Amino acid sequence: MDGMTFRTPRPRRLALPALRPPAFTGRLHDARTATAVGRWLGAAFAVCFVTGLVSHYLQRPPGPLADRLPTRPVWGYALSQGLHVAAGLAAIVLLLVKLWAVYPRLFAWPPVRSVRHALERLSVALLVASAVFEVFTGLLNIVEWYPWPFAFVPVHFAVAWIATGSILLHIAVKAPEIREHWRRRSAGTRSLPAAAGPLTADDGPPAAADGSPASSGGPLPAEDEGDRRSLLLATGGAIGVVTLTTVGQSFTPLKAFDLLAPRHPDHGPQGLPVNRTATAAGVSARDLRQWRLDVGGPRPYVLTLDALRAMPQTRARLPIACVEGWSVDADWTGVPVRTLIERAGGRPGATAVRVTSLEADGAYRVTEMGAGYAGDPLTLLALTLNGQVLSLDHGFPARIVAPNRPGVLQTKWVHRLEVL
Amino acid sequence: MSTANVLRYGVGALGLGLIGLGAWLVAVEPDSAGVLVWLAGALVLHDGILAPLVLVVGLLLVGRRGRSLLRGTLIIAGSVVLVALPLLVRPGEPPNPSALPLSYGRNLAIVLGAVAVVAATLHLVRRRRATGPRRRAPETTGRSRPGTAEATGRSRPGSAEATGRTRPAAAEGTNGPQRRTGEATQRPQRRTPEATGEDD
Repeated sequence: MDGMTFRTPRPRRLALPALRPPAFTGRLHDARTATAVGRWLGAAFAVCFVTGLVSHYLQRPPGPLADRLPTRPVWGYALSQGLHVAAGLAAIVLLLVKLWAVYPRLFAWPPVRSVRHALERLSVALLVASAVFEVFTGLLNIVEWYPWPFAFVPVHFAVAWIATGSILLHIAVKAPEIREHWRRRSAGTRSLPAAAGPLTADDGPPAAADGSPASSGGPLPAEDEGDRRSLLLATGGAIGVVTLTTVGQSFTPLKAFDLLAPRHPDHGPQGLPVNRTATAAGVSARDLRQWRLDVGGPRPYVLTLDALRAMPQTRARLPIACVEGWSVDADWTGVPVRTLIERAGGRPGATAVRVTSLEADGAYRVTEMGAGYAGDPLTLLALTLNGQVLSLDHGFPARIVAPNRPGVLQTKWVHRLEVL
Repeated sequence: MSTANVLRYGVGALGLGLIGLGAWLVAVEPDSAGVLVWLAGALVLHDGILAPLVLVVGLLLVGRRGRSLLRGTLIIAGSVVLVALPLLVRPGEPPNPSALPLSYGRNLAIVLGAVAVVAATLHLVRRRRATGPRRRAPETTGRSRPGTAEATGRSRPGSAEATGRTRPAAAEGTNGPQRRTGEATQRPQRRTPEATGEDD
């Protein structure tokens, strides 16, 4: 072989592919797919963000809000947090399909065209990183797996602002493209290869082979873009299967399909799952032998368990709704907290209560209950659960159960209430 | 500036503001460097591992009959596996007896089995329909457009999604997800990898 003729073309051919990014010729990596999936992804993230804020502020209400938190509907937090987790799981599917659709842009050539282009790419990197981070940490949190060095709650909260902000920024940057591809028949959509491709072959000249909006293509038949449609249907199907097999942990009527959720309504003592057992909280039956309820306030008093049981009991059906997304309704009986604070000289509806648990440690050993919850007639110091005396893991001898409240604040092993 | 533009810049500015707020919240964390490492890790995990993996699987499907149905089945199965993975690989004992109480390996097999059965049924139904009396000659126009194909990789006649569409629309309406298209009718395969690309 002649060395000269062999060599001259070769370096060129080798050098270019080595530098060039991979070629993507799949026809669904386009703005229409990105728009169609992106708007559902945006909706899922919006649900996550709003319900996340609800959860955050119910758990850590800023001062002036603490006494005004709503106690109705009683299932409000169960719904809100169930939606948070369900939308988050759906967002995993949507995010991956969305990123698949736009993945070729990662290899845009040249990588940076201008300052504006660089900033745009930077914002997309931020969006991808924060969105993947949020769904990933959330997914691991619901199985209570924390392999990272930081605290989950504040960081998941902080990065949620970055993710939401970069989504808004992304929508603003892409607004013209989104508008162009919003519908199947939008001008931009009709000029895409996937829309103007073989599918329209029967309908006359292809729309906009040159990239201009289709003027001659006319409205496309409903069956157009079959391939994209099948991709979107599969995405919907994936969300459907993921939701169906997990949502039973928060929506009990679907518990028969609860195959892949971290919790199941039927698994737990007395028909109710537990988040923190007595052992984990360092509470033993021996500690409770001398148990008394200590109520502080202008007229402090102490009650034995028998004295508590002798008081008029109120019955309430309220869910335990955990921040990890599961929730189960249960029947509770006990003494309304408002009765107890009234007797101590507090004014129901106007005074908050500090609740102290016997547990050895934990961020929620001592919590404050705003006046709204403390005054609600359904907020109980519960003594029974589903017709039985509370089991040790459910907070024997007495626990708080309040409507529309995160599970971590439904304090177990209560031994002291203080009117504030 | 038009109202739409005002709105657009407003949304963009709000987005920048929220990013700033989030960045500040991260910065005041005791281990903000750890957060940054995990954020970068998220990017690498997706862009460097997950997406290429999916694209490789997609490449393997190019040119296959019934590609759309297969792709849909894989999307659904992959999503389920991904969501179930932490249940299966989480190290250590469950935090308490009511957490992670199910037999997740078995349950995942059940779900994947059900997905496979539905997909196989659909495949059989479609094949029967495709070989039935209503078969039409697909696509007669050809539409090769010289000069555009090599530049954009678009519009190769005869791809699976094209031929699948020649069946009457009404027959497909009630079948549910991912069975829309893509059943290749009897037609010589003219696809090449660059025709349908790496679609999964």
